[in-house]
Amino acid sequence: MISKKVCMIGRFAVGKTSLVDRYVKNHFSEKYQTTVGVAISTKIMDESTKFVIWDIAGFEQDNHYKPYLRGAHAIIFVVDATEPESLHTLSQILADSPELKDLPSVCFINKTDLVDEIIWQDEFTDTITELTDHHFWTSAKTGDNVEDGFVALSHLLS
Amino acid sequence: MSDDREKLKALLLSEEMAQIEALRKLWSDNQLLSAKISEVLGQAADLTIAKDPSFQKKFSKIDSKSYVKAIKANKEMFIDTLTPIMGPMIRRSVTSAIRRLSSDINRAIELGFSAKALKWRWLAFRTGVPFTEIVFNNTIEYQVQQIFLIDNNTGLLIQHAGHEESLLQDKDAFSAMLTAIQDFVKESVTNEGQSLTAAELGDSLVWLVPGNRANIAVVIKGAPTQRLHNTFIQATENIHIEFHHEIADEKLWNNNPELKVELEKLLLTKTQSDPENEKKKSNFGLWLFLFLLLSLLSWAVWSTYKEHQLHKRITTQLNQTPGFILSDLEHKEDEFIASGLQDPLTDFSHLDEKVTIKGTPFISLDDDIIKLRIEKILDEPNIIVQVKDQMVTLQGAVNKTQAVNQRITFASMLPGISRLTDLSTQYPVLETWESYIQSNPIPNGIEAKKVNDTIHLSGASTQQNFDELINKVKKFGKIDSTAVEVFSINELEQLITKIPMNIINTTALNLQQTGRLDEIALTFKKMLIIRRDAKIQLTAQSDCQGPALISNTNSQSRLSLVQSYLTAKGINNKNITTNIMKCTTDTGQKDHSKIVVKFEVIQ
Ligand SMILES: Nc1nc2c(ncn2[C@@H]2O[C@H](COP(=O)(O)OP(=O)(O)OP(=O)(O)O)[C@@H](O)[C@H]2O)c(=O)[nH]1
Ligand SMILES: [Mg+2]
Repeated sequence: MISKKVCMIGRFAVGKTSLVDRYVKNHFSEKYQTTVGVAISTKIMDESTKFVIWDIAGFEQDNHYKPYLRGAHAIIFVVDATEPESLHTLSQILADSPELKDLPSVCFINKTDLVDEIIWQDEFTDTITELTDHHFWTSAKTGDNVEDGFVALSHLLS
Repeated sequence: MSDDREKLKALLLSEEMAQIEALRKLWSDNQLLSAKISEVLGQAADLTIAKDPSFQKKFSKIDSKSYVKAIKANKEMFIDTLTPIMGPMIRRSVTSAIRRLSSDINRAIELGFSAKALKWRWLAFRTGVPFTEIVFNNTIEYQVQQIFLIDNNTGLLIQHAGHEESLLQDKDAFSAMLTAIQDFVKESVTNEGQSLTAAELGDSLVWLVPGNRANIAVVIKGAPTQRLHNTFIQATENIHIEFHHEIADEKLWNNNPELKVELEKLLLTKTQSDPENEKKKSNFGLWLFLFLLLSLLSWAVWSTYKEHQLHKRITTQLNQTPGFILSDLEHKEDEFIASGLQDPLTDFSHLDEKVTIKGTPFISLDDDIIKLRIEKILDEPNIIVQVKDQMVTLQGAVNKTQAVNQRITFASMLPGISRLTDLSTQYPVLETWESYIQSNPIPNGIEAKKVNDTIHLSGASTQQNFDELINKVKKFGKIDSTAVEVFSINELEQLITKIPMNIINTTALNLQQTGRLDEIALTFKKMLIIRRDAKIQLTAQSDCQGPALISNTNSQSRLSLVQSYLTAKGINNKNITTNIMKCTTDTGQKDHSKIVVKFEVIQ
């Protein structure tokens, strides 16, 4: 069994913790409890791979997250479909740490259950393609595509 | 020429020259050279470290000055960052220190009287090492429960040893979390080069021992020693050398039995019952010491107990002693000293230990003491005094003279007496003259008469009789003995016997003879007063001239004459015996002096 360090990256409140909770514990809460520092969860993906998921606190502050990214094997970018600003945050992170681009990654466009509130333009999708080859329209609330996203990432790693 | 040469050179060596030129440019251009070296630097460093792990330390030295500068320039920021973290950290550390201290104290108290503690006390006594230090050394115990070898970079677990079941969390998550915390602390809390080295996890302790590529995290229960910490620093270095390859290759992580065995060696446990080597030592000294201690202790306890019992008994006795109020009882060198209030009449003879009394005089109103006091005042052994609740009753028979009555009155006025009831009776019962005369007849020959306060004695008797009588009756009054006649028996007897009576006539007594017989009768009667059974013996005698028959008949006649006369004078015949000295032959000689009647007094 090989462990892989997977980091969740995204602006605060986009649903990083919710996505991990949904995937690992199959659980969702409407209540927002911001993550402090980092929260660790593990998930056995298959007989040879185990994810050690680093759910890092919202990326709105400058650079404090950098040490946590050290040695990461894969990245899950998260944006909020109802909050275009969250995409901007991702761009900033990448500008700061361009090496992240070289890692296997997926992007979760989250909160898709809030259909009425989704604000999305095609150019947003273009920006995401610059970050990663794989993106998923997810909802931590309903669980849509969440598992698919994680599994896809594990395939990228093996 | 030179041109040609240059041309030829250029023709033949143009490629090499270009390379040399490029190399020269590389050497001279720092920027370029740096860029080039940087490409291999990593690899070179890895190689160097592989050959000599200590190089890593030198290599990774950080310029501390820049940190100091940064902190100096941004003090406020650091303070802001540290404040919320330092507070709880200090609190926790203080809490844990107190917790450990109190557990140490508890343990010390627990051990206070155990055999082990005694053994340690003995050891402390013998070696001079402070007891607390010995307790500390012997009681610290720990158990290394988990060991994690964690990759510095990714925070991923390289190898784990220990019981996974006792882990609350997934061991991978635990490793990642520790690394994250370490990163967090390194970034936000500590100064240059410092990192988190220990943390508390519930009641366990987590040590983080940094290594070049991998950290070792140890979960320990109990109170580990500094020596254990050193062991882990050493172990971390060793593992880096021996398992360098395994640590570097991610693919071998979490799947390395050899490394696991190595880590398992570090699951050390130290318990209190550990020190086997001590067992071999003889415990004789200790046991002897314990035995002596125990003997001494039991002796002390026993003598204290005995002393206490004795003290208690004497206290009780003193408290029950009438007329004594005990205030303090001391025991000094085999002697008890009791102080308190003491009535002069207090009797201590019942105490069964020698007690010196230091009493302050006072008047005790104890019933027993009141009794003693009254008895002393009355000075009359026949009066029985009873005192109950300060009420006095006198009983018994006593001659109640005026003095006695006065003393009884005085006694009734003593303090502490609420009532005095005198039930004592007169003894001997008071006699009147009349009752006395009735039960004590006056001796014969004496008469006694009481007129007013005077007893008049009269009559005749012996001096002894008179004296006795006077003694008995003088209590009834004054004695008047002017009319008494005193005689003595011997005198009377002589009066009777002194002269034989010359008597010739056989038919009548002459005047002289009757006079003499009157005297004899009177005297004998006096004698009879004293000696009632006395007899007067009359013996007739003659001169035996003529026929004996006639002589004897005459003697008989004379005897009868005398006896009749005496009888007539009031002497009973039973008090008279007669006797004739009979004649047997005729003497032929007339002798009137031999014709007599003799008088004798016989019993
Ligand atoms: N409707 C809906 N709400 C979501 C979804 N995912 C997250 N949320 C809500 O969004 C809020 C923030 O979610 P978190 O998962 O805590 O966000 P986060 O990215 O972990 O935030 P930080 O930890 O602060 O960086 C919570 O109230 C969630 O309930 C989703 O898919 N649909
Ligand atoms: Mg969160």
